Amino acid sequence: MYKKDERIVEAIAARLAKVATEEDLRVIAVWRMESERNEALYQRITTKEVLEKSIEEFRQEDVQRAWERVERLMNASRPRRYTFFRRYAAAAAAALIVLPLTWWLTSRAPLETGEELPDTRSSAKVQLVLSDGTTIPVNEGNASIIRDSAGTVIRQEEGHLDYSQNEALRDTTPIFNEIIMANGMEYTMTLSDGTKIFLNAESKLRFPVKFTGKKRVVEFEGEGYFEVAHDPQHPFIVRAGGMEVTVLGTEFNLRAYKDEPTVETTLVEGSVRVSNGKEEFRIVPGEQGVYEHGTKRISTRQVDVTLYTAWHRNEIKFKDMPLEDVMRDLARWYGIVYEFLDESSRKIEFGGCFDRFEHIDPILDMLRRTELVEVVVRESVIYISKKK
Amino acid sequence: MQNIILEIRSGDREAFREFFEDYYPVLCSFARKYLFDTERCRDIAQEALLTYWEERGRFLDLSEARRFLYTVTRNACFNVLKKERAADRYLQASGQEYADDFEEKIIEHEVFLLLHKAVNGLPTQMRRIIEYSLQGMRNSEIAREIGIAEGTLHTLKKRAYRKLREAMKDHFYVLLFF
Repeated sequence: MYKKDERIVEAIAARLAKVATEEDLRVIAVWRMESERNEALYQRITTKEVLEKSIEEFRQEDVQRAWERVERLMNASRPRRYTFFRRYAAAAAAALIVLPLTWWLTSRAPLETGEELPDTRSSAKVQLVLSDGTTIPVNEGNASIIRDSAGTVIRQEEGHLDYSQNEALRDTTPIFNEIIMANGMEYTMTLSDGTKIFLNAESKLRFPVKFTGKKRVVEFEGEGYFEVAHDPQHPFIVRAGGMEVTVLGTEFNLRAYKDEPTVETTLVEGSVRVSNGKEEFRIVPGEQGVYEHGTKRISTRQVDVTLYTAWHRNEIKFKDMPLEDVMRDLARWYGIVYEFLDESSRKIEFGGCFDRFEHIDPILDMLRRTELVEVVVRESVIYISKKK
Repeated sequence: MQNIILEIRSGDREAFREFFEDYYPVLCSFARKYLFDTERCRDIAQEALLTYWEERGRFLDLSEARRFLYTVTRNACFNVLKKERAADRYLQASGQEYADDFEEKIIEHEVFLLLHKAVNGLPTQMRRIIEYSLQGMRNSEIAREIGIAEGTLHTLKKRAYRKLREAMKDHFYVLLFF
């Protein structure tokens, strides 16, 4: 319904309440003549049974109870954009970087795009698994303290879990917690040694509530940006799907999604060692250590670090990336459902840079404007095919 | 003079509550056009309004917020339906026109919302007169029911009608500026 339809709504309501003015009746008459659909709708609305049923439906709703429930959730403020120790400002929206196809920006003709997509990110959840196996949602509620066994204290704030108060705990057998994230959100953690980890969507981290022993070991799946607290006496080790990353104190991005063929460690600062148990490589800033699930081999390569750490700066950035990979990443972040209607569209390469906290629409629009693919939304599913 | 959507945008919970009271029953009833499961419809309506609250920064006027709410509600219903009949999906994607009288449904619900809101906004006695007369009761019956003389009823009814029409006229206006 558009703004222009407000007048007809008012006129019909008045007509139903038997308070229509002559002007109302005229507005109604004109509108009914406009189309058969209007006429059919008018007949429907003014049917006594329809009116009674709808008034009855309005009455039976317990608005008070619904409001109380929603109000509780409003207080919970589900994490979206947050500023917890973020050092970078949000990227400017939809600034296009690469691609020779910059001309699409100038062709702003309206596009046939199907429906709007709902933002499904909001239904996502972050689960914290305590040492006894209890699972609690942690992205709800205001700042609070969660307690685990043996005196563990976990501070919970919007989008962030903090274990740093546990450093003083007495050394005992390690107690493990695990954080499990759904799609469509990111989360941050401070471990007991002060190490900070930014977790991207669909990630899992298993870690001791306090590090004990000579090594600091965590298990990881998904994508995370690690700022490891400097402590050469206690190497920090991340185990991620066949790759082991040994750190002395540094910043790096680790991508280890189970449904992807590789595990990638991209070094931003400092120095890390990556290993598969047999081979070991030391990588320097600007390099990436890649573990392939298929061959179980490790190799290193030079990469554009900004590409691999873009998510950490609130950006979605891709360059010469096959569309199937682009869509897989978008699905993780936006919680969308998509389908390729042909094989050839999967391999087309795209590039671009967007604000991660913007709606997905600008990205879909960009794809459409390249005129290389058709992107149609039907019933909340994005269908992609090669433009003929 | 402030627009309720702008008040909500600035984080005003009272304004949002007022808006919620109008739109929650409407969205429940709207969802029921797609789904039979009443409880499911309530969840969807609540979720839609909560999402609007979280996304309130995006909306500057009623027509945008309204479109968002109806769209989110419908899509949530579709998602439920889709799970129930996943096989239909491909068919619809491969070029078949999807016939959904979305616009018509919105207009229908906006009419009933306006009617409901305008009648409920009247003082009790006036509201009763209007309700009885909408049910088709004669003046003499209404007068007896309320316990007033028929002549008094006549005057009251006229006043009630005038007030009701004014309330309707104010509806979109009131939502925009009050």
